Amino acid sequence: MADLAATRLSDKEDDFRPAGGLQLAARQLLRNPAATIGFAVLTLMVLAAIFAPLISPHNPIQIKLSAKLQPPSAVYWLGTDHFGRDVVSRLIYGARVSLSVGLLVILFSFSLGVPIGVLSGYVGGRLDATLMRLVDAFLTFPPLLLAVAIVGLLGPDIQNVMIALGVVQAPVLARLVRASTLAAREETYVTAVRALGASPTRIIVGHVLRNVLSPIVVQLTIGFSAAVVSEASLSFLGLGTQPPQPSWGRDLAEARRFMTDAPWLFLAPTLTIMLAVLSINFVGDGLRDALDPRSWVTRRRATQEADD
Amino acid sequence: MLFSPAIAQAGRRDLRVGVFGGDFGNFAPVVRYDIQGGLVLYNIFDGLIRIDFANRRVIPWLAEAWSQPDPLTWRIKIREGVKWHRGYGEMTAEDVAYTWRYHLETKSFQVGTALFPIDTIKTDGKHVLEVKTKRPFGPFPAVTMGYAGFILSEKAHKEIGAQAYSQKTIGQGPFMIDSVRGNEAVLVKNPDYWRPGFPKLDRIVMRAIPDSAVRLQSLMRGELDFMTHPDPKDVPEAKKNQKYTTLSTVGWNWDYQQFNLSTGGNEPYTNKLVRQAISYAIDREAIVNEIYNGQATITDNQIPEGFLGYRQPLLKYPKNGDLKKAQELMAQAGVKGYDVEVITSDKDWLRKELELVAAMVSQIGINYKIRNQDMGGFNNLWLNRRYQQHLEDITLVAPDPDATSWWFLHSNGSSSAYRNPKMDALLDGAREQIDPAKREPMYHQIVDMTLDECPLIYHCNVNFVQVYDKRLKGFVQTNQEYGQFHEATEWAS
Repeated sequence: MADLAATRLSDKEDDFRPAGGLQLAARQLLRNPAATIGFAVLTLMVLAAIFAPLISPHNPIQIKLSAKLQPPSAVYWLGTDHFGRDVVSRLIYGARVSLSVGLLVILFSFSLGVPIGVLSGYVGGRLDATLMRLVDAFLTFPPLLLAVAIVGLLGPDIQNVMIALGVVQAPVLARLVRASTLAAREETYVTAVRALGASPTRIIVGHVLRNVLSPIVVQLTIGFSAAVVSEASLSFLGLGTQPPQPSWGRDLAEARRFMTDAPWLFLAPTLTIMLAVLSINFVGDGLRDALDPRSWVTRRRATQEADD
Repeated sequence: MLFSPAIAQAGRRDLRVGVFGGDFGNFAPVVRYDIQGGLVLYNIFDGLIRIDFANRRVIPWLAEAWSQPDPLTWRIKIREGVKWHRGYGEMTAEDVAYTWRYHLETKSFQVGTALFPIDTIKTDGKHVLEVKTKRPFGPFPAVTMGYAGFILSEKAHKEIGAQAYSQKTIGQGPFMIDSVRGNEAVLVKNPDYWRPGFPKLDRIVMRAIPDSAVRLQSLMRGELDFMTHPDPKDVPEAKKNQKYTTLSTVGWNWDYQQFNLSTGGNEPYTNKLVRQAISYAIDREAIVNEIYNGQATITDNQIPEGFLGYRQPLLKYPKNGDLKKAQELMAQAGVKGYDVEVITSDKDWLRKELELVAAMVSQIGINYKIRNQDMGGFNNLWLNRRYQQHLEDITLVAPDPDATSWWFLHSNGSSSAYRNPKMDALLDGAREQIDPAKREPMYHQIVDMTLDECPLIYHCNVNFVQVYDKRLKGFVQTNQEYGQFHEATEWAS
């Protein structure tokens, strides 16, 4: 009986190894219908963005005045804009801008926010106080206004938009990572490896960071969708993507002028932005649930009870 | 305050105006101002002269008479009894002398255009000013007294300080500044205005609303009574609407491209053949139709209709362009294609125009990398020559061909850094010549040389459009963007 109990305990430990956890998380993610749909839509958008030159039916910046403001048809599936440019092609190429901005912004905020948060939380003391006051200073500004101010300073340009959004998002991530690090550094396993003489770098990278990864991943998906919306907003205001490059936000701004004459112009980018953000949020929600260890325990127990 | 459109207009003595732009900025006439600031400025100041727009001639205003005893001397008689706002006393010739000296000392933006010929200024009594110029300057009344014709109150300017004067501006025009908060400027009637019976209104609220569609919606919703710069696409519909008066007239202006030629000569556009190719690649008719919905007039040169030296709108470049010729010129220049950054301001019509123009020049291999700026950012880059190329519009300051050419093309004035001794000689010669019959052929030569050298490429003269409540009367439209005078505007009883 004792042997059996020991074996069972050992199995349970294996289940909580990170590799097993990720498998469980992936399985859980796929069981979530909203997340699955979101993931599928997002995958389609990413593929469309990557293969835009191959799948785009027309040149998105080619002006053809003889075809301006045409309604949806077999030739122009979602119609044309005021310069006769194909709306579908602009949406496909617009995906490149929006998704790459989203991706680069989260990479930027990850590279800036995570080291600040981990160092602040792990080292503590004056460094923590200094870094967090700096972070607090950034957090006092409304994010979009801060982004507008930064772009205003650097000049309207898509690269500057990425920098601005990265700067806006990094403090949020830093705060979150610091809080998780503060909790993680007091854990027994951290005390144990410290007692074994592990260096601070090894402790941070190998143990702390690894265990605060879940909230980071979830925050990054939130950041991704926020970046897509913010890029669209800044482009809508004329501060982001510059013409004639396609951008969902800028195309939406242009479409306002033709809301009554050509409503498809307004609907197409609006629905695309909505779909993209919804998909990212679904994936984010799914990831949050899937990466929550408490839900693993609940599920594992449920599975064991079923096995027993 | 909202008014029921059907009943409450009679007896109203206020006006709510929606203007283009954002922050109003500065109202001091000795510091560069933006359009929205200019629209306020033209209602709080009276100029030394006014322009009779119908006949394109200068008429006396606060300068009630002037004479030229010799080719270098101008004697100006200042109108008596003109009072400064808020008890700052009577406007005198000393105020004019102070203002012009201030311009010259601070090297203000008007020096290059209007005040450059002045050698000495002195007063002769309280109301006479005598100005000596370095060289004869034919357009003195139109250009110097016109563009530099808004005068400071010396007493107020010294008392308040130059910085504060740009917001708490003391003028002598029909309205006074009551308050300025962000995008709203409130003007109130000047009770001491020198013209009896004017202004008709007690109060004007000007709101700067950047988006033309929002301005129009605000008008239609009854939140505004008067608006400027509607989207040209909406003008035909506005004209049909019985509730509104829509005025549209050709502006003394152009939409144009300018090249910065001071960048060391490495850019392909420093070759005039490339600039000619760009001009040939432009379909000016498409710009007028697609961007301005017909509310503009095609042109390829700097002299608008009615100005001395005007011949016809297109002198060299076809209205629909000539792509084959453009490609030939590119080949002749040995340029296959290149990228260039082109800036414009936050006027939404110009941003669209630049997008269309970028598509046109892409056909000859030139890739315009568009960089939109706000008005202040644009002016900073443009006037400091920190740009490669720009597309912008500009209102001509006076109905004189000098205002169309000298500042843009002379070595000492050109924001292009265009340098051509022959052009300089022609421009200086035309300035010094008083006789219109002799000046006219000189401007023909200047235009022909401009069309050949293309330091600037002109697209069209854009109409200025205002839409306002039909029950308003007395407003007279002008051909200048800033020239929206509301002293005679009133509600029909």
